[in-house]
Amino acid sequence: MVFNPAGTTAYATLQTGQGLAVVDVATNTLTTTVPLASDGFNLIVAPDGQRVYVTTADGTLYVVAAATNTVITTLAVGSAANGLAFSPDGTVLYVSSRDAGTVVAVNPLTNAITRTYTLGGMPQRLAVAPDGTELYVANEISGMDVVNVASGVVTSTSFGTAGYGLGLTPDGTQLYVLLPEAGEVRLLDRVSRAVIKSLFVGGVPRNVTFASDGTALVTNEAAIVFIR
Amino acid sequence: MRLLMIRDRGTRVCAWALVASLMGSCSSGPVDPATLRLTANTTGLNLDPDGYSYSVDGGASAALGPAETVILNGLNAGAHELAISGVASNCTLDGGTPRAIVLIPGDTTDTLLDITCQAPASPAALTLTTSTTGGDIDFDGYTFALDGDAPLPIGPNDLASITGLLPGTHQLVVGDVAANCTLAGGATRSVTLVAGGTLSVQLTVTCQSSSPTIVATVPLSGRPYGAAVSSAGVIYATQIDGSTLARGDFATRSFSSTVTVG
Repeated sequence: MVFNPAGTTAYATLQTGQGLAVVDVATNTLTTTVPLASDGFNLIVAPDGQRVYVTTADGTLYVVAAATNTVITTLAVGSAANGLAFSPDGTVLYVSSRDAGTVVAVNPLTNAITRTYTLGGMPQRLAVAPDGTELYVANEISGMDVVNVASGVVTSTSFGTAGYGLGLTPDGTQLYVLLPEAGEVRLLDRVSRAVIKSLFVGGVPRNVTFASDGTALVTNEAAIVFIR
Repeated sequence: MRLLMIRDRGTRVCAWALVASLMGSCSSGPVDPATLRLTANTTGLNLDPDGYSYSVDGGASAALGPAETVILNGLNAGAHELAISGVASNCTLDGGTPRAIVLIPGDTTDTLLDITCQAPASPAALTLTTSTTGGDIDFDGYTFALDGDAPLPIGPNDLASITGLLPGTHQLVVGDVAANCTLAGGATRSVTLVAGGTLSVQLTVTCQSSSPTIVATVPLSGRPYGAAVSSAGVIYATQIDGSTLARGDFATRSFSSTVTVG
């Protein structure tokens, strides 16, 4: 679930409906559904709002034109294509593949894969450091991986349980890692990776997003948990 | 067959095979050996069924039933030390152990062991109830230990029962309380248990929240999976089990409408 930068359009992937739903926020109505050939997993809107990128279960990255709600192109990025994150300058789109254990870097201008990072495990949601030098990847096997974007070196942090959702606070200082099997959100200092605190939210926490004031909204298959 | 070895103050060593009656032979011995007749008399409740052990002058131990008499022949006359062991904790040997006995040459000396037993006291029980309130609750719970035993876990809102405890005063120590939480009454306390009774102890923990913390939990149907919030404060949430999006308002943290997308 994402909004365009203007907040006028919302996009949602349909896991069972194999589509990208486009919703007009003003009227709260479905504008259209862009068909996908496989179950939709995750999505992101480009910083300029012109493109919507959707990952699917069959390992495809869809590039959708926001103006026309049509598919511009598709890329094979690895089975169970998953989390997405832009570099701060918007020049690199990172896409994880859960089953391939990789993260690929995509040039949004050419829609070409420019680099593949091999992490292992089952990479999930992503975030990029404010200076673009590090990539933070929740991993269902290892917990959380930190990728040095330049060198490709991967450092893993174990939580003793699967990492699934991941988000970086708007101020770039803290990482929220969601541990669905523990019903927990673990807050880490982004730089030191030290645990700031653990919050038991219950349920199965899957995804986190942030409001502009820094409030985190965590979905846990039972509720939306507001953390401030 | 029981074998009793007795060494006297000199050089003589006697080996005694204890059967129905004790017959002895010595490498060399006195002309007038002495005899000890040892009788156990156990009375009361919950008698010590496995009996006792005795030894003379620190020699090897031999068994003695709760109501048994043994005769030890061929002992050296004079002073000896008789030690009794194996007396159950609920039984008392009158006169204690060890004790001095004096054997007379050519004569039989009777020694009566009076053991009185009592029924063990009824065990006691302890029930611990934890109650944790406040923010940032210590969800991994606490530990408790009695009298220095290994700590056991207990949840933040939990109940634990310990049975089979000895009546009396015990020391209860509660541990693993998070730094932002306070246990009323402190971590260490004395609890006094009464035979056959159950003592209930309430452990009240209050936690203080620190930012960031959970400020609201808004239930949604359909297993909410993902959400987004716009800069204008509009929230949409997807469902795993549904084809609708829930629409909410960030300011009021409420959801009032849906949009069908599937």
